[in-house]
Amino acid sequence: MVLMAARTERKGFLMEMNDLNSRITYYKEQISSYAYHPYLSKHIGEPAIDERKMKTYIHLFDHLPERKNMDDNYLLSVMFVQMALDTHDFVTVDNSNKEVDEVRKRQLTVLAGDFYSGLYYHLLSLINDLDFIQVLAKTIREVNEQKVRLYYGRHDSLTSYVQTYKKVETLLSYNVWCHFMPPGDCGAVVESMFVKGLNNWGSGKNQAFSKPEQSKNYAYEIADNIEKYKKEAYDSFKNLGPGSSVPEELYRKLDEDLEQEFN
Amino acid sequence: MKLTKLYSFLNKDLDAVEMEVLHSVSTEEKVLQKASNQLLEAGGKRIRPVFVLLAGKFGKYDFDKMKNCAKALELIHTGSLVHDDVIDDAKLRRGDLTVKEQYDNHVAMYTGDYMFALALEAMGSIENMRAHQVLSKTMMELCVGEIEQIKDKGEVDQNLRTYLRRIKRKTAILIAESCRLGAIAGEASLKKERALYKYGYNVGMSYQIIDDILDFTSSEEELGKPAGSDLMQGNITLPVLYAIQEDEEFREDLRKAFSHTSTLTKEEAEPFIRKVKEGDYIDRSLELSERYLKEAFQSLQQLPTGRPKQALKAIAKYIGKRNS
Repeated sequence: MVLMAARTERKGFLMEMNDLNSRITYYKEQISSYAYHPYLSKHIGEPAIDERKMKTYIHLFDHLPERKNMDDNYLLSVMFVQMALDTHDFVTVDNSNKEVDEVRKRQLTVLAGDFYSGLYYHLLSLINDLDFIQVLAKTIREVNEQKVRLYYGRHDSLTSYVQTYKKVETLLSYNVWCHFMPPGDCGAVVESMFVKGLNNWGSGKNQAFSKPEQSKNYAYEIADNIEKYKKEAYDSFKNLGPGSSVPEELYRKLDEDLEQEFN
Repeated sequence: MKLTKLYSFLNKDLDAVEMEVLHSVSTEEKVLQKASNQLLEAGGKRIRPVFVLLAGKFGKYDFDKMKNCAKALELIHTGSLVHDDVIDDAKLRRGDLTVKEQYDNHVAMYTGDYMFALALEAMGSIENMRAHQVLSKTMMELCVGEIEQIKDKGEVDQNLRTYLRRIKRKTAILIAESCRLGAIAGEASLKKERALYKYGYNVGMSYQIIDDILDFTSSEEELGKPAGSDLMQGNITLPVLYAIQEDEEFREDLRKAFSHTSTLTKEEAEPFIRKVKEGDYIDRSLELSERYLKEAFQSLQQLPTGRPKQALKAIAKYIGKRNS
C-alpha cells in the first residue's frame, strides 16, 4: 500500500521550487502519499501536518552543510516523527463515549501515530542512515519523557511548566540541528520553533497537556496568555541573534517567517 | 513439559536478555518508569527473543548483537500491547490493571512510544541496514494488520483469505521476522534466513489459529477473560468464519447482531458461541493449524541438525498441542 509510494523523480525539480509554498505543497503530497491508507483516510481524515513547523524544517535543511538537504527522506522522516508525536496527543482520554464512530476514531488515531513512527524508521533505513535513526529515536524517547512530566508531573511553578512544554515542542528541531551542525549556540532555532509550538497550543493539543490536578491549571494559564509567551519567545530569538551555529542567512529566513506569524 | 525446557541450553543468554529488558527503562519520570516496567516485569513467554537467539545460532552468534536484537523485539511487542489496551479499552492484562486503566490513555500512549524509541536505540548496534529495513517494515505491517482488524470487525462477508492475511499481519509476521532478524544479526546464509523466516511464519499462523480456537474451548479461568471474548469484541476468527460459510442462518443472525454495533455482550454472543462449539468448526480449524505446522517442519529440513533445530522443532510441536 502506502509504503511504496514512488520516490519522486526530483532531480532538478526541487531547485526550481524556490517558492516556499510550492515546496510545502510538494512535501505535503509526498507525506500524504506515503501515509495513505483508505480506511484511515475515510475515518480520521488526512494526516495532520504541521505546516508552520514544516516551514522551519525546510529552512533548517536548506542550510545543512552536507547534501542531506537534497534527499527528501531526511525532511520527510523528521516530519513523520513530528506527526507521530502530535497524533498521539489527540487520542482522547475519556473512553465513556461508546458511539461506534468515536471508538473507531480513537483506535485509528493510536494506530496512525504508530504507523508514522514506522514510516520515519523505514525511510531512513532505505538511505542507510543508522546515525540519524538513532538521533530521532533518542528524541522520541526524550520528548515522551517530557510529555509525561508535563502531563503527570507536579510542577512547582508556571515557569517550570512552560520550560517543560518548550522542550516538548523544540527538542526535535534542536536534536536534528545539533546532529548535523558543528557544536555551537543554536538558541535561535529553538526559540523560533517554540513560537510555532505556542501557536499550536490552541489547536486542541492543549487538551493532552491539561490534567488540572497535576498541573495546577498552568495549562489554562498558558492558553490565556499565548500571545504574551509568543512575544517573549520572539524577543528572545531577536536578542540571541544568529549564534555560533546558526548562519546569518538562515537567521534572516527564520526571522522573516516569524514576522509572518505575528502579522 | 514446560516451554522453557525445550531450549534450556539458551537459559544463560535468555537470562541476560531478560535483565537487559528489565533494565532498559531508566528515566527520572517516575510515572513513566512505573508504567513501562509494569508490563515488562509481569513476564510473559519472551517467545520473540527465543526465536531471535535460536535463529542466530545458525550463524556466527555474536551475543551482544543478538541480545540487542532480542531486546528490541520484546520492547516493540510490549509497547504495542500497551497501545493495544488503549485500542481495546482493556482493563486487565495478565491479571493486572493495564497502563491505560491505572493512569489513562495519554500516559499509555507516551509509554508505548517511549518503549518503541528504546527498541530502536537498542537496534543501534546492528549495522546491517537490511535488519532495519525488515524491522521498520514489520512495524508498519503490524499497524496495517490492526487497522484491517478494526475494519473487519463484525464483518460477516469476509473470506478465508481476509482472515489469513489479517492473522499474518497480527501475529505471524513478528514471529517470522524475529527469526529473520536473528539470522541477519547472526550473519547466517540467505538460504538459512529464508528457511527460518518460513518456519516462523508457519509457526506464527498456527499459533494464532490455536489462540482463536482456545478462545472457544478454554474456561474463563484459563483465559483470564470470558470465553468467546474475540467474538464479543467483533473479531471474526477461524471457527466463526467456518460457521458463517457453512450455516446460512448463523451468518444472517450474526449479520443482524452486528448491524448496529461492533461488539456484543456476553448474552448476545452466547448462542453463536454455542453453535460454533456444536459444529465441526473447531476440528476444521485445528486441521488448518496442523497444515501450517507441517509446513513449519518442512522448512526446518533445510537447516543443519543440532540443538537449535531440535528446539525449533520442539517449539512447533508444543504450539500444536498447547491448551492455554
